[in-house]
Amino acid sequence: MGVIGSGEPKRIADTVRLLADVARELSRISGILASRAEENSPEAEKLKASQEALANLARQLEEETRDKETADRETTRLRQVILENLHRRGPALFPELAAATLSLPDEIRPVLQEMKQEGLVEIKTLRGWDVVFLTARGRDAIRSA
Amino acid sequence: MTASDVVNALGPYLLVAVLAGLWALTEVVQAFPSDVRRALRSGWSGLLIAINGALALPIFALVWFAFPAANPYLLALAAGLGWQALLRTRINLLQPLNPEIGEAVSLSLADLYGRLQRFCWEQINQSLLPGRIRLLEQATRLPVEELEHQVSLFARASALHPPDQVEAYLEKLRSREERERALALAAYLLTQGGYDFLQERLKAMEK
Repeated sequence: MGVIGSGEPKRIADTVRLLADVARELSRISGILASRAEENSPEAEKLKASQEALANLARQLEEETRDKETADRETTRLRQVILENLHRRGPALFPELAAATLSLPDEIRPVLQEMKQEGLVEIKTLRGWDVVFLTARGRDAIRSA
Repeated sequence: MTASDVVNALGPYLLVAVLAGLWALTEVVQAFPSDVRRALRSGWSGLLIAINGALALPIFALVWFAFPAANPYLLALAAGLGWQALLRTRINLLQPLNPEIGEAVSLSLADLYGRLQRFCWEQINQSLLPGRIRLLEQATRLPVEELEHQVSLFARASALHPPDQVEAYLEKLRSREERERALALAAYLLTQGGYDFLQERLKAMEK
């Protein structure tokens, strides 16, 4: 993905997915153990409760991963559109960039801040308006994308 | 010296300069499709066009000097078009013998011209920004419903964003305060339609 998208979120998503697999497997094992334990015994009840709790945890982690992946995809798309826009049209006013990406200012602001920190864009102020410029690194990112 | 002698002597030079200028003019038009009129009015466009013309003249003089018997107008045509193509081609002016240090000292015409062009683009962009700010400030004073109507119409007539995407965007904007909405809608019209389009729409809405 290069500098268009960062590798860190992918690593976190992979870890969460792994934890979900572990929780699902533990839930399965708890279920097997519960079936082997003496019926209605306190151990069997505890194992059943554990099985349910672990299954819930696995579901939550999977949902979390899905949400995170959707958000990451959206961020990557936004970054790509921002870079392409700046490359094609030159420096843009902040509201222009938001409109060009069909985003609200709150949605695009953190993405731009992140891109600024990575040196892909530069933000200057002109008559009180934020103007976003593409840097040499941003131009390279477009070429290598 | 008669007028026809002057025309014969200067005509080929004029042709070369016009060809070079036209080439640069095309570049400006392609680089600023949404704001061509104002970009061309910028002094930096004039400078880029003039530099292109000025660079082509000595090249033509050299070619004419090398082939004095050739038809000057054909030479002018060849120099005018050929030099412009050469200027944008990666031909190294300085090629060091040691390739290890090659990157540091090799200079290509395309690089040099690219730098000049980028500098002019930056200056033209800087000169266009205040006008866009003024237009957006003006647009935020208009009724937001009118701006929204214009965006809806534009979205239906344009292939850039599917209408349902634009509709979802309009829906998101409805939860925002009026000034913010007006600014976002005007910015949409400015980015998708261009400066002249928004200016014309604003004039029509103000009537």
